[in-house]
Amino acid sequence: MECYLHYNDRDLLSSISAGDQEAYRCLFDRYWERIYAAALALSKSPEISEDITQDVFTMIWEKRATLPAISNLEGFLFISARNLIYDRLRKINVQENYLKYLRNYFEESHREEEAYIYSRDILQQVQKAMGLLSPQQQKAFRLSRLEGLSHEEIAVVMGVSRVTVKSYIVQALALLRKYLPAHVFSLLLLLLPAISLR
Amino acid sequence: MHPDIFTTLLSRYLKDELNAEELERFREALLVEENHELWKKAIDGMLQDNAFPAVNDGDTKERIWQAVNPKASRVGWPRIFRRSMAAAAAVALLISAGIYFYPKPSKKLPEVVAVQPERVILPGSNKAILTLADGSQVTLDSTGTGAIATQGNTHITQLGGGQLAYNVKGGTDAALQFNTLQVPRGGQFRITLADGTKVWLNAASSLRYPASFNGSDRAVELTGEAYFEVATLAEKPFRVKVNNTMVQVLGTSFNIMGYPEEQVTRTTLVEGAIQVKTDRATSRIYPGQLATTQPNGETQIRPDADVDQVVAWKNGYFFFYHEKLPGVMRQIARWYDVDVEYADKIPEEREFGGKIARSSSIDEVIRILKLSNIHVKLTNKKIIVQP
Repeated sequence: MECYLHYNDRDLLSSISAGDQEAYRCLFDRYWERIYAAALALSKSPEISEDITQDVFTMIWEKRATLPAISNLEGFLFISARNLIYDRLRKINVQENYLKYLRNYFEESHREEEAYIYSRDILQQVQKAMGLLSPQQQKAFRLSRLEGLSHEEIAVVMGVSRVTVKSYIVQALALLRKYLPAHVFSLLLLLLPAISLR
Repeated sequence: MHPDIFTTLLSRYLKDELNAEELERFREALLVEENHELWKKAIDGMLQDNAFPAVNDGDTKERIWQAVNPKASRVGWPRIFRRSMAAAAAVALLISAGIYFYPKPSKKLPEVVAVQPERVILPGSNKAILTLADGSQVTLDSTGTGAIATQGNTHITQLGGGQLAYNVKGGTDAALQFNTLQVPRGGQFRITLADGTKVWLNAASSLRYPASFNGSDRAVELTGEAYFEVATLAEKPFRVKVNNTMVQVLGTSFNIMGYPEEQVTRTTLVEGAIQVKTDRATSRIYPGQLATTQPNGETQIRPDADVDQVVAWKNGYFFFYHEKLPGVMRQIARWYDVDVEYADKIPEEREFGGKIARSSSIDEVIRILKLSNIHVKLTNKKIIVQP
């Protein structure tokens, strides 16, 4: 990043407080990933982590007028991020939807292969259900269940984090479970080799 | 909660290693006020160490930037609405999909009355009967180990886990001494022949072979199904005779299924090269190809055999792909040593696929069949397929 050459933390601080949008972008480039990655590791949800990261930077911009009172920009950023992450974790930690997701997410680490047999009409139902998934969800799901890749390997292939890969898979499973009759859902893993995906 | 316990749970949480119970404990730790400082310290550490793998996700970065960029004109919905709109869209999608794909009401099936089997039916296991050259017989199973017999200079040893091995010690014998390894229904067995060739025999199959190969070729005879890993001996071709088919081998791995009730003989090559000969034709088979020999000697070659499926039995699975019900039931019959009857006409039109562990109990198999709308009744070693 070019901006690394132009600004040290001191310069960044004064430039942002003066309303310099380039300096703000530079701060974002420098720190967004660290905050997002920590939020992701803790929440296990890409959506929530995106929200938290947005909140951190929005807050910095909105409070830019007060920044000159701060001596250590990185320290301030991290404490703000930490408080936002912690508050958000406590909030979502009692939400039924999130807890369901989290339990599924951890189950995904301990899944076992089961055996079934299926017929053609069932195959068509699954094919249609797979069509409901987003291309990213489908891809992660296919690489995991069909190609047998680990979450880490899929993360490399798709250029996203491991947590994001698992979230795609967990969301895909939730959607398929909701849509498919229970007996068909339980056949899912075995049906995949027989159907063509996007 | 002790700080050490918290730290351990957290580090395992970050690596996705918690089981369901630990996850609940970890969640509770988040709600306890005393852990407040522990949590904050842990998050501080994570942010400062930057120890997490790079996300390396340009789309995510761009999305976040668009949301926080002061320059971006905010024409979109405020964030809080955006999320609920996405949820509404997902629900709408599900509803429309539900209407579109609403399952057709199925014809009511006759109740299947669970019948307690009068005899316990178990999955197959390692068992076989070895017939030596003099006609004497040895019963083999999983448990036996040690020397069984000698045939001339060849020593026969049982290795445990359902394996038999032939070893030539000293010079080769003048005369061929034929042995037969017979695997009953509900059995399987492995054998290493005197030349080092390994053979996996499936249920209801048998192999006749010389105790040592001292002729100009290595000829064996098969009934039923076997997987071969033939030891390479260029000067001594390996030949397998099954039904009307002769498979000639130079050093290779392949599967032959030639059960009489399957009508055709199927030879699938995994690696190497083989020739499949009948009195009508000689065909060269390449890896990944499947040769199907008809009773009249005609041979068809399919270039795209699913090798994993063909050898699944050797790896402990039934593996079906576009298999009609009678084919599925014949495999079950051979492994569980049961007979299959059809209460009505044999359903030919439906095709099945899937994978079932051969270690499954018969009840488990029946449950799995039921999921695919195949209803069967089990009475005294007989499976009756209901219409």
